[in-house]
Amino acid sequence: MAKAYKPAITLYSFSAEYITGKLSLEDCLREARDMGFEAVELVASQMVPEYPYPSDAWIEHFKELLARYELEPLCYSAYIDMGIRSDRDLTEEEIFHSTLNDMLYARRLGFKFVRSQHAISPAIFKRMQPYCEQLGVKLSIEMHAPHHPDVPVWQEYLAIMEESNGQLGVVPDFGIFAERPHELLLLQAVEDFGCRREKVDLIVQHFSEGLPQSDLDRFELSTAEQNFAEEVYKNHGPAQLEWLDRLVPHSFHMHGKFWYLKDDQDDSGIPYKKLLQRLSELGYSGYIACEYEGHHFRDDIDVKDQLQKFVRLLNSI
Amino acid sequence: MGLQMRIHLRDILQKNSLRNYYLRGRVEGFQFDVLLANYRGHFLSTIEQLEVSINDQPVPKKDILFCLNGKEFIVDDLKNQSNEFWTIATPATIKVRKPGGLEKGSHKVTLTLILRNPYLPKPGSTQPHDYIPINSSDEQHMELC
Repeated sequence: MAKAYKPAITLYSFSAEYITGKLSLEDCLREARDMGFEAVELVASQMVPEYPYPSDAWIEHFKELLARYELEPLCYSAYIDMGIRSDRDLTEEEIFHSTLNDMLYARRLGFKFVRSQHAISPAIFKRMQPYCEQLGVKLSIEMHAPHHPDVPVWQEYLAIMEESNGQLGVVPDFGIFAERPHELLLLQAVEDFGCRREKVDLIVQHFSEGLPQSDLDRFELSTAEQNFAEEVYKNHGPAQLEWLDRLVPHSFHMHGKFWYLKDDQDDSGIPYKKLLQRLSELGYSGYIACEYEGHHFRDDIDVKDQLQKFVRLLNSI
Repeated sequence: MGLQMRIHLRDILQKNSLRNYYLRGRVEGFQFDVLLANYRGHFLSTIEQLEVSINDQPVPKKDILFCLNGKEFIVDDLKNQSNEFWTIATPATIKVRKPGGLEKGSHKVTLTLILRNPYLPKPGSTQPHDYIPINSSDEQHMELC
């Protein structure tokens, strides 16, 4: 039997608990271990206390924590903070150096991958390859909605990955496969933006049946409801399973993005069952890092319960 | 002000942090602690606006100090601090020079704190260096400790 993909976790899933001080970094690692995860992704600018230059003492401390909780350091996630200077955007040289800095610290912390962003530019991305080889740290770019493999710059990125001797890759975020808005987006439209629930349901129903957006004109929608409809139509569509065929060969790991699972059968917006089936057929054997993002919308949802549901969904294939 | 980010899962102005501070044995002013309303940290150079009012009286910019990582910065120097990182777990202390400090009791503290989100350009913007703001402002009635 072919090797199967494995669940990992990005500690970003614990954002709400970390931000409110309910969980420290060590608590997050312990929770990850207790839930059965074996590998972790860390958003460096979120949880590294001395980012971007963690001290020797902290590096030792973090490695001890990983050893104590028997966790593999999978990915050190970085940003392309183009706008940190107040007078201008960073130059290519400066972006190169900040990416290299993140790779150097990732190596010291034992991470296998650094995840960057599409703003890195094809030229700088390509330029990192020899440093990946030298440091033993691979560099990937997250493919996050609204991006997808047919976006022109991604055609360039995929070609560069193809030629990179396995050093440069992609982290597909499953949000790119969102077919329908998730439940928390509907709640937000009602509770925060003043949309009427029946109109929200009507818009989603209308969209799901493939009816054109212009047909909504006859429903006397409020401005907030029109904005919601705009967002539904702009950001969702049938999941293109064949994107996986093109991404799997270059995927170092993936982001199992989700916002809210009612149960462990499937996600209401992202057709995980179909996608996971396809991944299995393609023989993808890397990690899928569970990425709970419901904290963007609500802070009254049990993150552990959500993560456990998601892992059961991953393991059901 | 259009699209902006604000992750408001916790208090920004920190309860029980308003107090008078001393310099050379005298009350030099008052101070309070602030956390960032975001899910990740940022460099201090991304701070675009920092203003304080106390009991509806605006504080002159020259009287404000932003204190982090054991250092004190005047407001006009924050824009140069592109190596000084403010993590989401670290409260910054805002000091306001006001000889004699504040009287006992409750005071209305108004903080205007706007940062650039340095990796998120405004959607559709064709300008360089045009980023979505992070709004970390807050207003609280705080008890002097």
